Amino acid sequence: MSFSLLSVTFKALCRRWIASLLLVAVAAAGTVSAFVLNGLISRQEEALENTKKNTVISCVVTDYSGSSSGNLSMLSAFVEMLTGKRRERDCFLDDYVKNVRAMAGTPLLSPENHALRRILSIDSDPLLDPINGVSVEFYEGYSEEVLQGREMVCIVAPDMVTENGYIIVSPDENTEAEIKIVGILNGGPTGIIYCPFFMPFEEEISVAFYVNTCSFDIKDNTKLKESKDYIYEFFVVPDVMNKNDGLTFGVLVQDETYHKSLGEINSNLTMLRIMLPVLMIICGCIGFFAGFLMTKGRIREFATMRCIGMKKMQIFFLVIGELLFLAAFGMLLGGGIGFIIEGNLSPKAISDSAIITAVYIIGTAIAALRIVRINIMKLSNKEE
Amino acid sequence: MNSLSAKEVFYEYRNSFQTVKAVNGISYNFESGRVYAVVGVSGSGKTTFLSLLAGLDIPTEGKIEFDGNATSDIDRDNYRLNHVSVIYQNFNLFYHLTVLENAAYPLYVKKMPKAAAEELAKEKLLKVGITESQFKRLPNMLSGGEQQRVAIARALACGSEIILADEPTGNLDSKNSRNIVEILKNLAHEENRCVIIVTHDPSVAEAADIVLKMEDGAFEDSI
Ligand SMILES: Nc1ncnc2c1ncn2[C@@H]1O[C@H](COP(=O)(O)OP(=O)(O)O)[C@@H](O)[C@H]1O
Ligand SMILES: [Mg+2]
Repeated sequence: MSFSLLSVTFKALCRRWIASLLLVAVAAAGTVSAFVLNGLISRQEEALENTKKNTVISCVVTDYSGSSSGNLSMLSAFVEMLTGKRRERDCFLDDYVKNVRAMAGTPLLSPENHALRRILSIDSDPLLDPINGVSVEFYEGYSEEVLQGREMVCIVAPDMVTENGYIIVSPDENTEAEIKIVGILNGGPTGIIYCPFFMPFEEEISVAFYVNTCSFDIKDNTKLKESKDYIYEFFVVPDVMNKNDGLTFGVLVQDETYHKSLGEINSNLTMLRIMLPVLMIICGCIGFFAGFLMTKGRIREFATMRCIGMKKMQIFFLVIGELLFLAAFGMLLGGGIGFIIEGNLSPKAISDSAIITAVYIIGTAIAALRIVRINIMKLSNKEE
Repeated sequence: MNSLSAKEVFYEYRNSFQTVKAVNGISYNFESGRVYAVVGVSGSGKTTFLSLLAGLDIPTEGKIEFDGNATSDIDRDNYRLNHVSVIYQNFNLFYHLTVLENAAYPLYVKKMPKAAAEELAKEKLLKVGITESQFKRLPNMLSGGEQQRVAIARALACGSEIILADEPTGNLDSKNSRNIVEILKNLAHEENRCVIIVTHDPSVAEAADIVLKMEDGAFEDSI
C-alpha cells in the first residue's frame, strides 16, 4: 500500500467528516461506558468491602424463649466463655466475638441503699451512655480496661468519694470488702458502685454469680456463618415455644440489615457485571451496522477501485485501516472523557474498553467483508 | 503492438432463480488506432460485452484475449490497472477526492511517487481541457462534461492502450458530447490507442471508424 494512497484515503476520510465523526463517536461511547461501568463496579466493590469491614453485627443474649434480655439470671460462666476465660475447657467463643458487654447487679447491705454493679465496659450499662450526659473520669493510671481485670476497684458518683479513697461494701453479713475508688461518675446514677465484672470480693476467691444483661459483637463479619454456627453450640436460637429453664440461653444475632445491604450491593454488582458483556454485544452490533452503513453508501466507490485495478484485499485493508484509525481515535477520545468523568485510569477500564473496541472493530470488519464480494459487473448500473 | 480479441464469447448472468444469456457468441478482433462504436437497443448485451473486455469477469464460454493471453489466465487486476480503462456514463469518480487526486489515483495504486504521479495527472488533465484552477475542486463542483473529462484523464494517466467507454455521453449535452468524442477520437488516431465506445447516440456512432451493431448478445454484420 503506497503512502500517497493512504494519504488521499485519509484526506477523503476528513472530507467525509460527518460519517467519520459518527464512527469515532460510537467507538468513544463504548470506551466511555467501559470506564463508567468500571467506575460503578469498583465503587460497589468498595462499598461491599466497607460494609463487611465496618458493619457492627451485635448479638444479644436472651432467655431460652427470647422474650427477655434484661433480667437473665444467667450464670457468669457464660460470660467467661464469651470473653475467652474458658479456653482451657475447649470453648473458643472469643475467637468469634468481640466487645462483650455484660452487667450484673448485686444489692448491698452496706452502704445502705446502694447497689454494686459489675460491668465489663462502660457501654455494658445503658445508664452510662454519654448520650445521657454521663461522663466517666478515671484517676491517673487507670482506664476503662480496669473493668476487664480482677483488681478490687470501683467507680462511684462524686458524693461517695471518701477521704482515704476506699469504700467498704458488704453484700451480706459474712462478707466485707474494701474497694479502691479509681474513677468518678459525673452526671450518672447515684447509689450505684460500679466495679470490674469479674472482681472477687476477697482476693483470689472468685464465685459464680448471676448476670442481668449480656451482649457482644461478631468479631469478623466475613466469617459470620461460621461464627453463628459456633455461637449456637453454646447458646440456642431463641423460640417463644421454649420453656425457660434457667440453664439454656438464646442469642439473637442482629444481622438483618447487614444481609440486606450486602444483598443490595451484590445485586447491583451482578447487574453491573452482566452489563459488561451486554455492552460488548451491543458494541459488536453497533460496529457491524456502522461498518455496514459506512460501506453500503460506498459500494460504487469500491467497485470503481476494483475497476481501476485494485486488488480485493487491498481495498479491504484500506477500509479496515480507516475503521481502525477511527476506532483508535474514538477509544482515545473516549478514554479522555472517561478519565475526566472517573478521575482515574484503572487498568481494568482500559482493558475492557480495548476489548469493547476490538469487538466493535470485529463487527465493522465483518460488515466490511462485503466489499470483497461486490459484483463489479454491476458497476455501470445507473441506479444505486 | 497490443491486440484485443473476442473468441466465441458467451456470457450468462446466473442467480438462484434464473439465467440470463447476455452475450451470445461474439468473435471479433479489435485493432489499435481505431475508434469502435457498439450500438444496439437497450438490453442487447453491450455493457456486458464491454465489461468482459475490461476483465471485470470472464466469459462463461469462449475467451477474451489480450496480447494472445486469455483474460481467464492472467491477473485481471493487473490487466485493468495497466492496460485497460473504462469510462462510464455516470463517470464513477471518487467524490471525496479532488480532480487531481482522482486523475492520479491509479498512479497511487501503482505506487508511483506522489510528485511524479501528480505531474503526470496534471498533464493529462490539461490535455483533456481541465484548467489548473479546477485541480483542487471536488468532482461535484464540475459540470458533467468536465467530470467525464476527468474520468478520461484518469484513464490516460494509467497509460492504458485500451479505452472502453460505456455511453460516455449519455449524461451530457450535445456540445459536451462532441467534445468528449473528439478527445476519444484523438486518443485513437494520435496516440494509437484502441477506443471502444458503447453508445445510443447516432452522432457518436457517426464519428467512429467502425460501427458494430449488437442484437441479442451478438454482432450483426458490421456496417
Ligand atoms: N447484473 C445482472 N444480473 C442479471 N442480468 C443482467 C445483469 N446485468 C444485465 N443483465 C441482463 O443482461 C442483458 C444484457 O444487459 P446489458 O449488457 O446491460 O445490455 P445493454 O448494456 O445493451 O443495455 C439484459 O437482458 C439484462 O437484463
Ligand atoms: Mg448498458
